[in-house]
Formats: sequence, structure tokens, C-alpha cells
Amino acid sequence: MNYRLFALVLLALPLGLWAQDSDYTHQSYDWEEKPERVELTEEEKEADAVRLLNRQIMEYVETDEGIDMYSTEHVIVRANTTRSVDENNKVFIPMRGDAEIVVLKARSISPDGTITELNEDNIKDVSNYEEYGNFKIFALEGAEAGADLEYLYTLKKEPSMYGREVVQSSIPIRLAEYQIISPQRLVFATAAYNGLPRFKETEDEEAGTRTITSQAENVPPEVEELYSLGSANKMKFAYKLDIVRYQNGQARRFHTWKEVSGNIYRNLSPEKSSKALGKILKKEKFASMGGEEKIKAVEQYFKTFINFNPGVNISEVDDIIRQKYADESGMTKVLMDAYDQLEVTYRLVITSNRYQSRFDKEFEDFTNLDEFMLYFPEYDTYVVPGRPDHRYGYPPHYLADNNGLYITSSEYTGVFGAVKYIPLAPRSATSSRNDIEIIFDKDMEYVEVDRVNTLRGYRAQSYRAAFEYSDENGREQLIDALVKSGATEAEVLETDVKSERIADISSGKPLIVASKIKASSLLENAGDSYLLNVGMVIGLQSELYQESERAQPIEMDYPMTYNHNISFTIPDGYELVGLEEANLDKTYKGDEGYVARFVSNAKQEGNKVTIEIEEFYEDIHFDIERYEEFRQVINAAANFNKVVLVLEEK
Amino acid sequence: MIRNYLKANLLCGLVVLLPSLMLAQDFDLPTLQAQYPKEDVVYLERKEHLFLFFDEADALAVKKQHEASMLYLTDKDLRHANESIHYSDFSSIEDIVAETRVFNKRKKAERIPVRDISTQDVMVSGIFYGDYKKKSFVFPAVQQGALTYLSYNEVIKDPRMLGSFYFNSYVPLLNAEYSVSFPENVSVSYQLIGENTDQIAFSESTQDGQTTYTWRAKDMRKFERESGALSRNYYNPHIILRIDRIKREAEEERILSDVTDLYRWYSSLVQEINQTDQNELKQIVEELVEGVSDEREKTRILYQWVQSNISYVAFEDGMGGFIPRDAAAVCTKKYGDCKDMANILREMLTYADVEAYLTWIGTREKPYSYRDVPTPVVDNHMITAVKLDGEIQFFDATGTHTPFGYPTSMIQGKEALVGISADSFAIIEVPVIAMEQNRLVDSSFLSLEEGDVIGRGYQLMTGYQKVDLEYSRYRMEGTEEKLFMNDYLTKGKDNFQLDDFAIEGLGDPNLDGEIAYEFHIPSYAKQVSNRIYVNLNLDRPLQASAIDIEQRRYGREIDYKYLDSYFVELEIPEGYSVYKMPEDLSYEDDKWGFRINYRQEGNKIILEKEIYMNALAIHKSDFEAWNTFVAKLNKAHKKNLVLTQ
Repeated sequence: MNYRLFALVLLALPLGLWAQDSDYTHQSYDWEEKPERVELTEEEKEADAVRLLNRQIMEYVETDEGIDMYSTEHVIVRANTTRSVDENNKVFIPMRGDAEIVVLKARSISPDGTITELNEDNIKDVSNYEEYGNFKIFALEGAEAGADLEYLYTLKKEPSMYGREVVQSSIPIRLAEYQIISPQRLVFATAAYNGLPRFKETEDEEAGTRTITSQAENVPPEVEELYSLGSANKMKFAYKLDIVRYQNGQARRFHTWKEVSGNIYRNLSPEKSSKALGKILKKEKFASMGGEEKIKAVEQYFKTFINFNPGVNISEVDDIIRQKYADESGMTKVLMDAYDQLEVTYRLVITSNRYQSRFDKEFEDFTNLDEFMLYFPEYDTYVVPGRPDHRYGYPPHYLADNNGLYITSSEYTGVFGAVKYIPLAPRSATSSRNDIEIIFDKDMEYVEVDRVNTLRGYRAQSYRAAFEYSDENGREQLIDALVKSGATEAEVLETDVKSERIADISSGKPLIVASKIKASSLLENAGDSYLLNVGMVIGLQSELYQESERAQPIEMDYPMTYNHNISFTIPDGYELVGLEEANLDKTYKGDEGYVARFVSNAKQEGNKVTIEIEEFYEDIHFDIERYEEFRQVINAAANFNKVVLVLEEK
Repeated sequence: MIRNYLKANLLCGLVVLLPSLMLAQDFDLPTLQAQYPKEDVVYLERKEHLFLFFDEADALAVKKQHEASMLYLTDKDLRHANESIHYSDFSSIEDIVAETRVFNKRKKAERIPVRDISTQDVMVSGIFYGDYKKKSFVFPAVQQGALTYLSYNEVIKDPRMLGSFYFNSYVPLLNAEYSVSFPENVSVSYQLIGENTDQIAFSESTQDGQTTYTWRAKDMRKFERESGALSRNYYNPHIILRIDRIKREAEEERILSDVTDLYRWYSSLVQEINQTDQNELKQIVEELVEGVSDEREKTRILYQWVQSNISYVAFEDGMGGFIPRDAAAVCTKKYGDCKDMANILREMLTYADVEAYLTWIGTREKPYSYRDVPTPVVDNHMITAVKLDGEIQFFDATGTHTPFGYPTSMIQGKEALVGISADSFAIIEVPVIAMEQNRLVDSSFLSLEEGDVIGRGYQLMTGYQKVDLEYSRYRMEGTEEKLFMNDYLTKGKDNFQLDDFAIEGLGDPNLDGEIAYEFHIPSYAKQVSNRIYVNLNLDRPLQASAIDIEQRRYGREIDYKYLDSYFVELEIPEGYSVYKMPEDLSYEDDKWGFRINYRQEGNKIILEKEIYMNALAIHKSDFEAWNTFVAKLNKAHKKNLVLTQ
């Protein structure tokens, strides 16, 4: 994302004085001229496809002009099925910047040994695809079920001095190997995550190179699981140029939090503040507002005033004010400039989306410097410039429960950065409360469900964003889904939505969705009796009914509470049977009481029935060893869905 | 003709110059805000003018002038400012004028031009490599009351590729205008398609030997995205224009005056294919059909070979989007798109002495007839037609799982343009597969244990019902098969647990699909006091499919006709007897219906249910009838069996 911001870092790299030929040492790397067919293990035969080899070599070569990078990728996929041929026979080679192809070959090797090599005429160029740049694309020729699909290419390109590679994929990998080769004086550091073995170092004195390698064998395919982070849990590594040694024996560290804090801050906060912006601040009289009001009003104003578009290239605040569009760093600049001019104290926070990558405090992985926030220490609150769907308050859940780089600038100390933990909003902040009254139709054809759903915190925010960005039709569908939830056959009679705008997020007001529906699927016939599917009025609950071994740590989006207060009057002439089944209680206890719980309490007084439900998750992390207990709580809500009450004729 | 050429440029230029003259505000914002309270933007105007003229080489040239003005009624959604012009190698984009006009109190506009326009390749889903491109930019300074103005010229390289014009848009459109001007020796035809085309006003004028046709529509409602809707081409008012012919001094040049002209052109594009050495392919055919003399059997073998050996990879670059690639090359590469598969199959059948033809067709999203719309807009697909027992049958090898003898479901009922020879063709309708050929038969045998249902099941699928399951399995990659089957077979409640299963016939297009399975559903039956309540409708299809008649604007598309049968047999637990049997119910109509019957046989209660869909669409006129059907079906599904001790 923020490539431009890091350009400074690269320029600051002193060029080598030891001119070398731009030859790279792994030039002789090649595929097998006469490949031998590999036997699959029983387990591999079960898979759709297997990556027999996934080798990547990144070599840095010093030249008179600077540093060249030769990047090689060699992949062999055994496609066991026709489907896996379709999935694996297309190759996209990213050609960022001035990348040139040095080597490119591809072939299919049929089970009978027939080799079909790629016809170079069938390699196509895709230029400037969205924000991803150029690609070379081709489809492997002669690919059929059972074949090995193999390609090998080397690109000469601008060196990437830091980066991240994900190892795990949707199919198993027999051997994954990653190698970084550099001149001995350029020392690369790596951090391996989620099971990838640590990199090992070897030096070749003759060639003057240093090579670090990591190999992983039999990498399992990634699995999708509810309540897990997904991408962030994949096996992967990060790398960066760490130390440069000079001829005079000195050495310098690169890619440090300190260095990047200064560069980014100076880039986002130029010395001269924008006059055009100043005029607006004056006109809107922000200065006269009180502390928090001022912060909120400024955010609201500019998020409405500026069309946020991540694809635009515009960098001066004056210019942004005139053109009224900006990308993430543009929006950040505008808000920083505004808060500076209004003398509001804030820190710049840079972090990663925790679902994609966890921010590692110990390893300076700049790819984690992906999302900007502004932190207001006086109020312990955040503004996220690049998120039009967020407003002042708690950090968005995907940017919290993670570390971030907090950058402070002060006259006395200058700019400095420190990595700190970004907490999520506590459980008390997020809730969904349903007050539900069920009214029986006099002919017992259906029930009417009157509901007031009160949503707060993160829960309200995601709905508000959906309301804000959908048209009338989409809005109706959204409301329908919210109010019908659980009642498959239902007709919406009335709805009323309060505080639905994104701007309401910072007001502290809850989002309220009041509705009346006619739900015929909730009342079934059974001779002269009726069955009330009362469990479904809380909406279809997510479940973990399938028994399979849990692979990933349990992690939820955010802590929260659900409350459902259901009430109804038993129609005259009927008596209610089976109410005791509506009493459920499943818990997950921690050292200081309940961490998660689903408890329902059903009562009948005369012909009045009430069921009160509380379900909460105090924490978002649960011990994988205690998965079963966690599952019980989740499933208790889904089990409540199955609660049926019988109305028998007296 | 030179005079005509000059004038063309003059006229083209005029449109581009016009904006500078109309900078005063000519709309009333509060009025429009009141008129469209739920909209953030409206198009004040969208125009396309097609200019046909003779170029310096006396060839017919086509320039399309586009013009659009969008007004911001609110500040709420500025994303409308992100604009793209889409095009391909068949046209080029010139003379872009893009600016935002912000009006002051005296209703005079400040004009702020768009600064950066970037050209990008576009990847279209389903197409691996195409020549699709876009020019993208952001209108600056958009705000409530501002207007964004865009005009550009599109030079169309082939006079057959005029495209179509829609009189509505994704936001309300106040003034839609489509026009064409052409010299007197050129004749054009057009077709208006969609709803309310009678509200489109037509006018004609002639000046200096130039005839202009203009179609105007006012206050056009925006179109909605509705789930499962028939293609927008059924409803949205649009025009498809074509050039019939050009009268030259000596002769008449026919462009697209009728389907014969269209076919002549298509046919010319496929005359030069398969000219390379085809021996390897011939040898494969020989081996495949060795000893087979029956033409139908030969067709089956070769069709299934293409289905399973050629992977679908689409290339659509320039004329490559129209001309099938060499059959021998497709055979080596083992991949191709629809036309490549149509061609290799035709070629292979020819080597096997089976009469086969390249065939053009539009999928169901193109509700046009070749006779009414003889232009390339009419179709988007190619298949192979085969003469078997004196009758033409259709084969679409892109359908990886399509059973032999079925077309793909997306071309059912559509006209096919069958290329009999270089200059003869036939238009033949692809059959609609009868519901009895797309069956799902699910039988379950249940017993009760403390309210839990314990069951054995058996499911049979034929035709498109089996194809559907094949595609779902195809997409499940990475999911364990048992989890997938658990989801697929789920019935009763979501706590349905599949205990064991065995499948047969899946993956083999010559067999029906069969699944034998065992399952249990915890607490499915309600056991209170001395009674058991159990609903034998474990499967309740179409439950949420009632149509909101007030809201819904477009008909719903049905992929294929089908017939579902359910057989449920429950063993009455010991000590219990039937207290109340649910009543038999049915609703039977030509287009859809159901029957539910219950009966007792010894200690068993048997439910037999059939649900059928005998139509490919639920049109607006059918909405009431559809809802009646769904309501009755839902009502029937709510009936429980009551057992007593």
C-alpha cells in the first residue's frame, strides 16, 4: 500500500563501491532436463493437487548503479483431478516496475511422460491491471489430470529490501524452499511464522555471498474455520535488509522502527501547513469547539467533503482540498494538518489488519505498516483517516488486539516511535439487545413478532456502514434480513430505524431497529395443537455442530453481549407444554469468573410467559485445549433455536 | 464523399464544443431533490450520437459521440465521482472532455477539469485474457449541487459492431437520447426492446442529404439489481441499431440487412481455420472411435473426450473473440474457450464421418431472435450441432458435467444459428429439457429415539439436478467431502449429522447420481407428556421464495425445469399410535405445483411428496399465482404428525 512513503528508505541506502558484474550466482539453476515421475504418498493422492515443489530464490547483486535483484520461482504441481488442472493451469507473473524476464519456461508432463512445452507466442501481457501493475500471463499447454504442471522463471527487477511471502496455500506442499542470496556485506534478516522453520545461514567466501534458506516439508493446506483469523495464521515469513557493512569496518542497521517513524511522519506532516485547509477550519469555526467535539467535527467534515478513493495519486493537502479526492495517505495528511492547526494533541499509529497479519513487535516488518490511525491520548480514542465507514471512538476491531507503531512528534524530543498494544473496546461497549413480543393470530395461522433491536459498539458500526453504502433497495434487503432472521416465511409489516448513519457512531447513541413481522413459519400445526418455534425468534445462530479437530487458535471478532427478552401471552383455551426445555446454561469459566456464557431463563406466571437470555464473550481468545467448552457455549445458542413449545388445547 | 467526410468532422467537433456555451445552471436543485428524495445523484442527461460517414478512402466509418451529465443531489455518496470508460480493441476513445461544474450563487459554473486519466487492462471474470480496457479517472470537487460532465468520441472500427443503447441507468435518468445520422446512400434498421418502449419518442429529420433518427425518453426510472432476476435485456428499454446496406454507384453493399448477411460474415471468419496439419487429431479420433459404427455412439465418445480433456480457458482479443482457434493446436494445448471447443468437436466428428456444424447462439441472457436482431449483439456463445438420425442435436462441450444429449441449461429454448455450409445456414431452436429429465428423488427411512430422528436415506439425481451437484462439488475444493455432503444433505434442522455416506455415478456423465446415507437429527421430534410431535417434511424447498409483489420489478429466472420427489417412512415407536395424521394437500398448475400424501402401512407412516417446476421463468404476470403456490406449500409443510401413547 504505502510504497511512496517508503521510497525514502530505499534512497537512503548507500550504493556499493565494489562494482561487480551484474551476473547472479544462481544462473545455472534449471529444471530437470529429463524429469522422473514422482510417486505420491497415499495422503497426497487424496488431495486434488499437490505442490511437489515451491522454490523461491531472491538474489541481490551489487552493480555500479546500485543493486539488482534476480528473483526466481520454480513450481511443480501434480494435478490429480480435472478440477485441479483448471485451478492450476493459469499462471500470472507480476511485473512490477521495470521488471524484465530473464528466464521463463513452462511445461506439462503427462502421466505417460509426454512433455508439452509452452509456446512463447501464447504468453500475453496485461498492462496496468487495477492497482496491481503489469503481468505476464499464460496457460500451461497439454495439461491433463495426473500431469505435473511446471514453470520456472527469473525476473530481474528493482530490489525489494523488505517483504513478506506466504508459504501455505489451498493445496498441500511437499517441499517449500525459500532462499535469499546477497553480497556478504548486505545482511538480510528474516522472521518465520506459523510453523515455518527458521532460516539457516551459509557463506560462500569465494563468491562473496551470504545465503539464508528455509525449507518446509509436507506443508498442510490452509483450513477455513469459524472464529479464527484466517490469513494471519498461514505459514509465512518476513524479510528485510537488516545490516549493511562498509569497507571501513563500520556497519549500519536498516529498517528500524526509529528510522521509519521519522520518515513517515515527515512525509505525512510537512513543515508548512495548508492555507486552503486553514481557510476551511476558520470558516467552519472548529477552533471554538470543545476538545472531543472538535475532533469529531473535523473528521466528519473532511470524510464527507473528500471522496475517498484508494486508487488516486494526489499528495499535497492544498491540492486535495481543491480536487476533493484523496487516498489513505492523503486523508491522513489532511486530518493531521487540521489537528495540527487546531492544536489537538494526537499520535500517528500505524498497524496491520490482524486478520491478514499480526504485527510483530520484535521484527521490523514494514509490510505491517499498512493502516493509519490517529490516537488522541487525552481521550484514549482513535480516528481512522482511510476508513470512510469508521468514526471517532474505539479503533475498528480488525485494527485492534494487535500491536501498532505509535509515533509522537514534539518540539523537544523530535519524532519518535514505539510499538504498543492497541486494545479492543471492552465487552461493555458492544451489545445487541432484542426485546421481543410474540402475539398469536386469532386464527392461529401465524404469529406477529414485535421486536426492538438495540445495537451498540462494533455491532452497530458494521450495520451502519452497510446502511450508509447501500441504495434504497439494498437498504430494504438489509432491514428484511435483520428483522426476519430466523423466520423463513415472514412478511414485514412495519420497520423503523434510528441512528443509522455512520456519523452516529461517535454520538454514543445506539442503532435501533424496531419492527413488526407476520411470521407464519414460527407456528406449526399438529392436529388440534400448535407448535411455537420460539427458539427461532432470536435469529439463526452460528453453530459448531460438526466434530472435527480444531486446527487454529480460537479468536473472535470482538467481545460482546447479546440479550433477548421474549414475552408472550398464551392464547385462551390452550395450555403450554415443554417450557422447561427453554432453560439452557453453558459456560466457559476463567480465573475471574465467566469468560463466555449462554444462559436462558424461562418463566410462566398465569398465562404470561417470559424467556430471558444472556449470551456474552468477555474475551476474544479461547484456549484451543478447551475448544469443547467454547463449542458448547456457541452451540447452546444454536440449540436454543431448536426450542419448540407446544400449545395443547385444554 | 470528401465533402461528407469534412462535415462529419465538423459535426463531431460541434458536440465537443457545445459545453462551453452552456455553463449557466439550467436545473433547479431543490426541485430535483424533492423529486428524488432517496437518490444521491441523477443523470440529467445521457446521449449517444452515432455518426456514419465515408472516410477519405470512401469506406464507411463510424463514430459514436457519448455525452453525460450527472447531478449531485447530496454529499452522501461521492463515490459516483469515480468514473471509467470501458472499451476494447474494436474501438478507440478520443477527445475526452471530463469536468466538474460547481455553480455559484448567480448560477454560473466554475469548471474544474479532470486531471489524470489512466488506461488500464480489465480482467473480466471467466475470461483469462481479453482486450478489454478502461480509462479511469475521478471527477474533482464533487459536492451537493455540482454537476459532472463527460463527453468523448468512440471510433468504431467495424460497422457491424454498433452495440446497443439503454434508455435507463443505475441512477434515475432525466433525459436519454440516442441518435444516428447517415448519408442518403446508407440505410439503417433498428429494434426497440424492453418494457415501455412506447414512451420513447422517435423523430426524423433530413438536412443536406443527411438523415437523422432520434429517440428520446424522459424521466427514466433507474434499474434495480434483484436477486435471481432475468437478464436486464428482458426489461430495460434499449435499442439495437444496424446498418442494412450501402448503395454504391455500381452495386449494393450489404452489411447487416438480415440474418443472411450476419451469417455470411460469421462464415467468412471461419473459412480459414484448421488449415494446419491435423494428422495427430485425426489419429486420436481414429483410436477413440475404432470399431464403433453407430453415429450417436461416436458422437458420445468424442463429445465426452472434449468435455474431459479440454480445459476451459477463454481468450478474447480482437477478432480472436470471434474466430475459433485451430483444432490441432487446441488438441495440443488442451485448453480453449467455447468456440475452440465447438470447433475441435466439429472437426473430430467430421473425421469420424459424422455430420456436424459450427453453431452460433446467444445464452438466455440475450432474449433476442436472429431474425429481429441480425447483429453480433444477438449471440455470445458457440456450440456444435450434429445431425443424428436425420435430426439436428446440440452439444456444448463447455458444460464439463452436462450429460450426453442435453444442451447446457443456459441455452435451452434459444435459437441456434447452424452453419450448414459456407453460404447456407439454418435457425433451429434448442429444446427445453422436460422436468421429468431433471429429477431428484430422495427417500428416507426414519425411526425415533427419545426425540432424536435416526435415518437412512437414498437420493437419486438426473439431468441438470445432477449437474448442479457436480458443480457444487467442483467448487468445494479444500472442504472435506463428508462436511460438504453433510451440508448438501442437511434436512430437518441445522444440527443434522451425516453419519455415513456412499456415492455412485458422480463424476461419470453417463450415469445418474446416487447417494446412500445414514444420519441423525438430535431432538427433531418434540416429545412431551404422552405425545410425540414430528414433522415429516424434513425437506422444505422454496420456503422463503414468496415474491414481494409491491417491490419486485423483474421476473425471476429458473435455471431448468425439475421434478423433486420425496418419500419419507417413519416407524411408529413401540407403545405409540397415531393420534392425528396431517391432511393431504396439493396445488397443481401448468407451471408449478406440489402434491403431499400421507398414509399408514402397519406400524409405518409414509409421506409422499412431489414438487415440480415446469417453467423457465416466473414472469411478473405470474407473481400472484406463484405466491399462492408458495403459501399453500408452506402451509402444507407446517403440518405435524401427532403420535400418542
